[in-house]
Amino acid sequence: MSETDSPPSAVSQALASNRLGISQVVFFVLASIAPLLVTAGLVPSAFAATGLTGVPIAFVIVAVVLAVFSIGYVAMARHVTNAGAFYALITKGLGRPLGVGGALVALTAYNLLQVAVYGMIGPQLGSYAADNFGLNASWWVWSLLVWAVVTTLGLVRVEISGKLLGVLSSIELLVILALTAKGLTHPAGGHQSFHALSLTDLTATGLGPLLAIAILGFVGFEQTAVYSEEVRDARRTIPRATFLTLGGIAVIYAACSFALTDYYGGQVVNVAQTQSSSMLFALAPGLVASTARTLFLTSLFAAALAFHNACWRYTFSLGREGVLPSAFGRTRSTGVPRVASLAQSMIGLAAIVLTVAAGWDPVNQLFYWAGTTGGFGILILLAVTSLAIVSYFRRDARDESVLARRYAPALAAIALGTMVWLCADNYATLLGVGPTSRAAIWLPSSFAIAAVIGIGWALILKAHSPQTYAVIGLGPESAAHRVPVFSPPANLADTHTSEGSR
Amino acid sequence: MLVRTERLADELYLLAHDETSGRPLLPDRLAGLALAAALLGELGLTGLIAVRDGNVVVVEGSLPEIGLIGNVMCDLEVEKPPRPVRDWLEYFGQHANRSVASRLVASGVLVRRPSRLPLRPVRLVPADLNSAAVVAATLVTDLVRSRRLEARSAMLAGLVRATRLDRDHPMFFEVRDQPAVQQHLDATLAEISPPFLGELLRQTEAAIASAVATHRI
Repeated sequence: MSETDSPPSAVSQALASNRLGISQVVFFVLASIAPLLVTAGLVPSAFAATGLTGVPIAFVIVAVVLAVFSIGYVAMARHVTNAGAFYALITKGLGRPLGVGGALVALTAYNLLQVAVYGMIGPQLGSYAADNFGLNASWWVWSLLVWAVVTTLGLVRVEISGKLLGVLSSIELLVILALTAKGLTHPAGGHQSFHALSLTDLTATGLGPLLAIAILGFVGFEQTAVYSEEVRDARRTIPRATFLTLGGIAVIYAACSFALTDYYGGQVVNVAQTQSSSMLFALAPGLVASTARTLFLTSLFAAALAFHNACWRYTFSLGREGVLPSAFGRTRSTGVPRVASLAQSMIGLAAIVLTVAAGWDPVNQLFYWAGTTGGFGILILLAVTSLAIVSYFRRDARDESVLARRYAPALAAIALGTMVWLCADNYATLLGVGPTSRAAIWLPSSFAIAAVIGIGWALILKAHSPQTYAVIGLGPESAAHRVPVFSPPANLADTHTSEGSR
Repeated sequence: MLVRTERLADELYLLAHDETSGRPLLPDRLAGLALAAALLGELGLTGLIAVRDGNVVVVEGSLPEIGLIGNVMCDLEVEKPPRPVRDWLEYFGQHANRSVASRLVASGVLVRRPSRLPLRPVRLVPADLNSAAVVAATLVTDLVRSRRLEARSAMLAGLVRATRLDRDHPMFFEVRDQPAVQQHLDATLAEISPPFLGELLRQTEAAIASAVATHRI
C-alpha cells in the first residue's frame, strides 16, 4: 500500500476506515489457535505421551523461538504478496522449486491438523451429549455431524463466523485464566513446587517431542500475515498483532500447564494418562468446569472451521497460480471457492471413514498422531522459512534492520532446525509407540515425499508451462502479474493456454 | 419504452442484480470492486485517464465532466501523489454500488419500488425488465459468434468473468467455461486499446481473489 505524508488525504482516511485494526487481526488468529483446545486437549496429551512434566517450560522455549522467528517473518511479509503462506516466502527466498515443495508440505501439514480435530471433537461431543442429554452414539456419528456443519459453512458465505469466533475465543481465555487461578491457589500438598519449570527434567529424548507438541499449540499465529493487505498499516499492525498473540498465549499456556503440575503434583503424568482432557476441568468443578467443557466443544469447532479455511486458502491460492488444477482457484459468483472447499471436506470425510474402517482410536491415532505430525510439518516449514528469510534479505536489504534480516532469522533457523532434528530422531517417543513402529517412520516421511513431489512438479511446470512457473508463490495476486499473451485463433484451441490465462 | 444505457458501470450493475427483485447477485465487496473497475474503465475508454507505472493519472487537458464520472475524476485529480489501481478499486468500491445505482435512477433506467412488506428497504428495479436482458443477450451473442468485441463490451465480458457472474447468471449458460469463447475473449483483451484496460482487469481479478482468500467479501 502506498503511504502518504501527513495529514492523510480523504482517500487514505477512507481506505483506512475500511481496513482491519489490531484487535480484529488478533481475534481472527485466536480463533484458529483455539487456546482451550490446546490447554484442555493438547497439554494432557503432552504429559501423557512424553511422561515429562516440563510442558510449561517447553511452551516458554517455543514462544521465545517463535518470537525470534517472527522478527524476520513480519519484516519479510511486508515485501511479499500472498504473505500469509509460508510457501510464498520460501519461493521468494529459496526459489520456485523449493517453494512448491514447501506448498505441498504445508498442504499436508494443514490437512493433518484439519483431520486431527475430527478425532477429538467426535468423542468429546459424544460424552457431552451422553452426560447432558442422555444421547448415546459412536464418536464417528458426532464427527460426521460436525463435518457436515463445517462442509455447509464452507459452501455458504464464509465470513459469517469471524466475529462470533472472536467472542468465543475471548471467553475461552477468561475460563482458562479462571481454571489456572484455581489450580495455582490449590497446589498439591499445600505448597508450591517449581519443579516443572526446571530444565533438568528435559532430556534430549523427551525434549524434541515436547517442543513439537508445544509448537502445535502456537500453530495459527502465522496467519497474522494473511491480513497484510487488509490492515490499516501493515508496517505496525501485523508485527503488533503477531507479538501480542504470541506473548499472550505463551503466558496463558505456560501458566495453565504449570497450574496443572502444581495442582496434581507428582501425579500429573498418571492423571493425564487416565483422565485426558477432563484433568483441566477437574481444577474447578461446578460452573467454571461446565462452562469450560461447553467452550471446549466450541473451541474444537472453531479449530475445525479455521483449519478447513486455512486448507482451502492454500488450495485456492495454488489453483489461482495454476500449480494445482485451476478449478481449485475458481469461485462461484457468491465468492465461495466451491471446489477448493469441497476438496477439503472430502479429505476430512476420508480421514473419519478410514479411522472407523481401520478400527483406530480417534483420540490417540486421529487426533494425537495426525495433530502432532501436522505440528511437525509446521516446524519443518518454520525452519525452512527462516532460511528463506535470510536468503531473501541477503540479495536485497530493503531498509530492514540487520537484526530483522540476518541475526534473528539465522538464529531462528538454527533453533528450529535443531528442533526438527530432535523431533525426527525421537519420533517414536512423540507418538508414544515402540522404536520399530512403522507409523514413526512413515508419518514424518510423508513430508519428505510431499517436498520431492512438489520440487518435481515445479521443474515440470518450468519446462512445460513457463507462464504458470513465473507466478508461483503469488497466490490470489497471480492474476495481476500475468503477462497477457495473444492466444491463437479458436480453431487452434489449446486448452492449456486458456487455462493458464484464467 | 426501453431505456438503454451504454455506460460500462451501468451495464455491469444491471447484470449484477436480479432484474425483477433488484436483489444483488454478488457479495457487496466483490460487486463494489468490479463496479469501481467499471467506472475507471469508463474513464479509460474515453481517454480521460491513463495508468502510468501502476498509478492512475488524469490525462492532461481532459475537460471537466459532470455527475458521477465528474466526481470520480475530481477524486483522482485531487489526490497527490497518484495512487495505484488497487487503492482506487478499494476506494471507489466502497460506494460504487450506491453511486452507480443513483446514476441509473437519475437516467430513468432504474426506478424505486417500495416493498410490499413493512420495514423492508425500497427496492431498485429496472423500469423495463428487458434492460438487463438486452445487455446480457447482446454480449452473449457476440461472444458465442466470436464477433469482434468493442473495447467496452470486452471490458464488460472481462468483468463478468472476473466476478464469476458468468458462472451463475442464467443468461450466460452458453458461454460459461467454453474454451473457444474464453480464448476469443483472452485474445481480444490481449489487444485491447488502451492497453492499460487489460491491466485494470487483471488487478480487479487479483483484488477479488485476494478478498476471497482473506474472507472479506
